Amino acid sequence: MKTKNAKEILERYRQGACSEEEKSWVESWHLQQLKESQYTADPEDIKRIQGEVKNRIDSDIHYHIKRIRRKSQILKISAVAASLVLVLGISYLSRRQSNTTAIVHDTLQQADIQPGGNKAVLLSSDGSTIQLSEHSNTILVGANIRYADGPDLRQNLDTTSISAAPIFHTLQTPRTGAYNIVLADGTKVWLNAYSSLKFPSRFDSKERVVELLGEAYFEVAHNKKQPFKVRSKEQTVEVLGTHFNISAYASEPTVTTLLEGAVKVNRMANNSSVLLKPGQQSTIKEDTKQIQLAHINTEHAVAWKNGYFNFDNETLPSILNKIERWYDVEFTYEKTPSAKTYIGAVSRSRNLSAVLRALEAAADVKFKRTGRKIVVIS
Amino acid sequence: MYCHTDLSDKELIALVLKKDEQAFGLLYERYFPLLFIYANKIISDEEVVKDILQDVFVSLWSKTRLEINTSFSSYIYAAVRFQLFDYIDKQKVRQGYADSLQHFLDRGEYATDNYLLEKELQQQIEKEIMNLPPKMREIFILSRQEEKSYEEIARQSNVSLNTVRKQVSNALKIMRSKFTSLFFTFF
Repeated sequence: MKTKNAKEILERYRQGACSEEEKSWVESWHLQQLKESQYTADPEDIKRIQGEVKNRIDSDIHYHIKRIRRKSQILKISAVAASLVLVLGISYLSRRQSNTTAIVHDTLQQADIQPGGNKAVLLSSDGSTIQLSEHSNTILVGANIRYADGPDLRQNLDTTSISAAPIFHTLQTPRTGAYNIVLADGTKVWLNAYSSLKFPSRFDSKERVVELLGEAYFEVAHNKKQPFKVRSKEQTVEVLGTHFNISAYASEPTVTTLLEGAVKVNRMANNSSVLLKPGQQSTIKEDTKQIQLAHINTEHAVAWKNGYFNFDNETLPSILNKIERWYDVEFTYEKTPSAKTYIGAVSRSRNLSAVLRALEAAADVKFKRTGRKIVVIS
Repeated sequence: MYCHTDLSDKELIALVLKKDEQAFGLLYERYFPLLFIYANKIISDEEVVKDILQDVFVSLWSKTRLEINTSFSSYIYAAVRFQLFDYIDKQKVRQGYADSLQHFLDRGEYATDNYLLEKELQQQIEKEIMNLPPKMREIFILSRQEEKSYEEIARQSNVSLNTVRKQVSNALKIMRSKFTSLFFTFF
């Protein structure tokens, strides 16, 4: 009689590659396991867990999160109990491991690191530098520049006199800062951390042009006669009236995500261009000739503007880059990080320790922090 | 248009494919308790069971096409079974399960009729319905009973299935409002 190898049969069954006979063996065994099981369920447990799992499912569904299996492992950023809850009140993806990973305690009692907030400076071509108030988060550009809730910031920009040249300003955010601005034409811009937006006090010429370094989300005011252009280090984006996000940090690929309308992304290095439709994203990498196009979940690309980080199939270094900018910390790696990717979301208003805990659990790493320098130990 | 709770599994699935969240929620309510018990009988780790059920339902939601030859219940039981075996294969527990299967095979007492086996598996999963609290139980049973009896009524009175459903649905609504608890314990 041929000896049957249970392990091999199980493997084949799982792959759907076993014979009908082998299938019946495995399923008979499975049936017996069911019959012999001593498990009894507590109805209260079922009800409670039914609700919990439904919540997680609803989160998944609403953010169209697709799980991609890489090397037969899926890792998600954990929601440590209820402590990481979205500003919008949606609970995060669950953790996979059943054991809680230990929180790394530094030998020195260090103060936890606060998340970023409304921090920015306004530099102007006439030499002035103004530190913006943290109590407001938006400035409006008009005859004067003022805070959205009232007080003037800068006066006498003289936008009424066309003989005087418009003054150029740069709104600049540090790490840990973010600020919003409404430009002279009504275009709204959300500026993320460690970024700067250069804009004129009024849009005089046949085009409206601004310059971006870093990341910003735009809702451009309609004006067919005056196209709106965003220049960043590698590209120029031309728009008519749309909603889009550009991430153009130094030493990272330039990524443009379109939510509504239409934009044309022009790569300056070789003058190639693509036309984006809503839901599409273009990526310009230094070492790749062509502009890459992809269909993505646009909510993820602008999650930062809505108050949370969203990691959509990103490697650990890519995730940590974002954390570095928002918390003004620096990560160094003990070993070269793997190419594993992660999916998840974390609120931007949590302290650093909470975020690191979540990452430790999901990515199976440990962080050792001394002041603002953190070593990643895998 | 009648209320979603009177729809059969097949009809609910058709709605789910069109991204109807209410229909999806109803299918979830119908099957979650049984699937939960089923999974727990094989894998004793509650967190893993939760993840598996989450995966199965999210995957169901993201389908744009679904061809079910048998019934939705066989489909979903098989989906969960696949996840169970997937887990068994990947985790450290693999050896324990393999040993158990080896022992079973060596004894040589297995059936070979796949069709019967599937029916038996279904039975084992569904017999747990009796151990569920009344409200959970009736959500499941009602959906089964209705489909079978509607078909019979339609055949006997030479009326379309839709007409039967509509009439029963109206009658049920009236009955439920007057005799809620009585009606359900009848099953």
